[in-house]
Amino acid sequence: MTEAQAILFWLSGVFTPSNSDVLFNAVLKGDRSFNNLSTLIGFQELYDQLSLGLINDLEYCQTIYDETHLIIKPETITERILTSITPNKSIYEIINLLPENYQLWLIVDYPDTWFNKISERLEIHQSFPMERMIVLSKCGLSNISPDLFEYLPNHINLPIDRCLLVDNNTKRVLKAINYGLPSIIYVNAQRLKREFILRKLISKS
Amino acid sequence: MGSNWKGKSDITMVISKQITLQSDGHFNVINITDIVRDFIQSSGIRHGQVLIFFQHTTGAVIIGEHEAGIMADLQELLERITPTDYEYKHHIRKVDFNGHAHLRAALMQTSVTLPVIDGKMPLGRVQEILVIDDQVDQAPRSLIFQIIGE
Repeated sequence: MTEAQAILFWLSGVFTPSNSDVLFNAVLKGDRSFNNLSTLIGFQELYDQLSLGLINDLEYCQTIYDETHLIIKPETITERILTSITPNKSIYEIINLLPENYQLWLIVDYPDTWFNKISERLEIHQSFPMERMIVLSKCGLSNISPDLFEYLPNHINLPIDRCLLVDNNTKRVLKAINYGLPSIIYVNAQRLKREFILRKLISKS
Repeated sequence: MGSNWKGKSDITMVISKQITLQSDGHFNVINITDIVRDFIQSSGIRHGQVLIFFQHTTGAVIIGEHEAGIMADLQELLERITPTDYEYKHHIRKVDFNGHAHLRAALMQTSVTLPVIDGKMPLGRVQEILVIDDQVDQAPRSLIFQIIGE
């Protein structure tokens, strides 16, 4: 196994709840009916378009509003989404254990308008300076897979097998692995720590 | 060498719960270990067994390591023996076209039972409870949790 030199963390699902959990909590607050759940499942593709900058946050919320038939205005959906994006503080403890020789990168999948409002609350800049953030909406990609997996090693100027993706989305991770990008499925901070130890990225003590 | 747990009680409880997962299928792996832990804790049962039952014929529940490489290997293995793109006899009636998902479900399992000891599942260090949903469309997936014990 080639040793990783760069570790790339997906923002939503690792540092915050996953985008589907955020949407579920934001939109279905007080309205957890079966039909609405069924409708919400289809929004991952829409979220990918939002992440890549192919649609803006207003269009995203308007589509959710149109398709869910809930009595929540698009502006209220945005407010609720922003409130639901809470920091996962336990991940920072794990990141602090990583030796400085690893390049740490953050893949920002939230649109700029949201990220600007939440980044301070997430305290993300303490671990990732601006030059170590890959903002998906600014990459000019039309698909996550395989475009992003081609883009990432080129952007950070390392062979693909020297990169390691940490992402909670199993399907995306499987696509990354099949493309040749080594990856870890993020389940929780404790599990990630164990995986880092097993891969000898951090010491056991 | 092993540990023994013995107990006798006249009060045996059975608690069941249905949960719904968001899934878009196509080998979607959902880690439900923490959800089952929460269920056991909320039941108040300290000793017994917990059953996790997937209520569909196009997916499975397994105990495994939720590690990216293993999941990719499992997906590849299933694709080799039950290819997604194949003319299954199940497709002849032209109702649905998910023959591979039914065969994969039959090869795996739709339920697992785990011991509950001192209010916890004695899972091994890397064991986790995973739902694998191989359906070909987006829909909610239902599971039944049932705990029996005291």
